[in-house]
Amino acid sequence: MQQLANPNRLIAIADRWRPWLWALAGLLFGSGLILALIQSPPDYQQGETVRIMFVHVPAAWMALAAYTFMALAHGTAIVFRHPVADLAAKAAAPAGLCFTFLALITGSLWGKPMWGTWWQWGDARLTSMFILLLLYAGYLAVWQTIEEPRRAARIAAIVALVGFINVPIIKFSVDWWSTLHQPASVLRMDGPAIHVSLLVPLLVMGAAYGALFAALVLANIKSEILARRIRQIQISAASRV
Amino acid sequence: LDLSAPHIGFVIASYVVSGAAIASLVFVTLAKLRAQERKLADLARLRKQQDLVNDEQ
Repeated sequence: MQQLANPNRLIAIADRWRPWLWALAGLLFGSGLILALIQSPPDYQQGETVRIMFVHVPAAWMALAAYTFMALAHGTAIVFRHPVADLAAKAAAPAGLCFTFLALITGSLWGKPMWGTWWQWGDARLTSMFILLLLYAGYLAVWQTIEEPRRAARIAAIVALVGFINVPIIKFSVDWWSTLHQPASVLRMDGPAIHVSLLVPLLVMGAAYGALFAALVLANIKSEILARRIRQIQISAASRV
Repeated sequence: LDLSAPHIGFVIASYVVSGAAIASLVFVTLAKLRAQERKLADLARLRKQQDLVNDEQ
């Protein structure tokens, strides 16, 4: 982990891994879409609508994974004084926001034909996911509005760590409260409850979203390191004048 | 995929929205990275020119 504390080394690692991750994401999305749209059969109850699951569920997984990554990165920055960890957390937020938005939109598009409603405020899973969207938006707003990077990182860490309470609430909301959203069917103690013909495309799409997330985070980390360098050059140039 | 199935519009809309959002996210991320790389290169070039002028003076 100490190796990653050196921004130059981190940029070198990011540059080396990024093309492979883009390629892997492209490959997984290609094969995942073939499996999801052509290979897998329609569900006996949901019919073709089940195919929404292949974009909805991975988006929801990655929304939670991205927030967990942010909380861990900020935790690392606080405990180990890791200089790049705050930037890694910031780098994950745009993708996390996008995945949360997609999980909500695609969930709504599935809910209308299956539940007969686009949205249900009384549902714990839906509402807690909406809170996650607000947390991502608030987190990014902190970075945008506070100019001094260290202060922004400190307040962003508070938002990320306090907001992390919402992650287990989202995961277990379907077990703790009996509401509209169905219980977990893949990440369960007694194994997946869905047929393998639907499980395989779902896992491939999940891996595609994961590879995409990793590539986006590496690109954003490099972007943030370069932005800090630009800021330092501009400050030193201004102080010389 | 049966395009005549009931509710197929919801399925298509899900994939179109997901594709558009992911493509936009990738485009914005890469554009931001390219912009930072260009800006840093410009600043480095300016700095070099300034150093040369200072040396001459």
